[in-house]
Amino acid sequence: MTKMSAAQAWQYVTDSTREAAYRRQLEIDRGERPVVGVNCFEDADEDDLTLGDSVKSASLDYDPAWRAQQVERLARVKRKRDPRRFEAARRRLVEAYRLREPIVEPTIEAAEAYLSIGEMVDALAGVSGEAELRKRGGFITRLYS
Amino acid sequence: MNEDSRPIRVLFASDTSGHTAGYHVVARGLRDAGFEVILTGRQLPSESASAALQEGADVVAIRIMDRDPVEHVSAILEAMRAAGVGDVPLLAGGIIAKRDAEKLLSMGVVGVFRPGSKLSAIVECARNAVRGRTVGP
Repeated sequence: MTKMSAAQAWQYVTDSTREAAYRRQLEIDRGERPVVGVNCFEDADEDDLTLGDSVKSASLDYDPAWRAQQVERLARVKRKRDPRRFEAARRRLVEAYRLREPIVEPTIEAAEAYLSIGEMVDALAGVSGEAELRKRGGFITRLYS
Repeated sequence: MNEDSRPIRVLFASDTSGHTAGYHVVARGLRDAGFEVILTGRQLPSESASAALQEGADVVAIRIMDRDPVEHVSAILEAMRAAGVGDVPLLAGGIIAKRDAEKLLSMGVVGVFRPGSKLSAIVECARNAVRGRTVGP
């Protein structure tokens, strides 16, 4: 095999993985690759997304009231945190991102200074825009516009 | 009608990043079945709706992994109506509990595909949804 650039190598691995996943799915669909509970020995009554009776309701039932509770909790944290420590940590995070330095340490510091995830992401998006942020980091700023 | 003259165009979005193996498997299955697949990756509901409009999608499909299916699909349906593409059929697939799947169907989603679904079932559903819409009542 000839030498590949890092980008080509990444593409090669990605393509190979996707190809293998597709072949695997076709084998399952055709019944050539048995998967218990999927294409053989299926249980029609099984509710496969519950984790057991004890955690059943907690695991999947979404209660819209949780959002309001969480927003209130977040507001409380923001009122209580040290604003100077918050601002210093925010600046360090932005600076590291701008200089393309590793952002793990500044992100940990930001969390310790009680920046919310939304505030961290907004700070990063402020550097080079949301599109670039998505490309670089896999963050998302808003879940609903 | 002219349903055979050009491939069915699917706009295929996902709710969040990561865990994309299944997403790409389904995309490939649709493509190999003759669909034109527009992969948008992770999108906000409003982005999927406007992409469906701009791309002239015949059908919209959404991969759900991390978000609450009912909440997320409600937002997409609302955004699609607001964008004027409320009549484009919507398919959903991913980590969706049975009871949520039933809710999604009652909300107007034409097909819900949970783990273990066959590619052929997804293809057939998308094709029928578009055909039903093309021929009309």
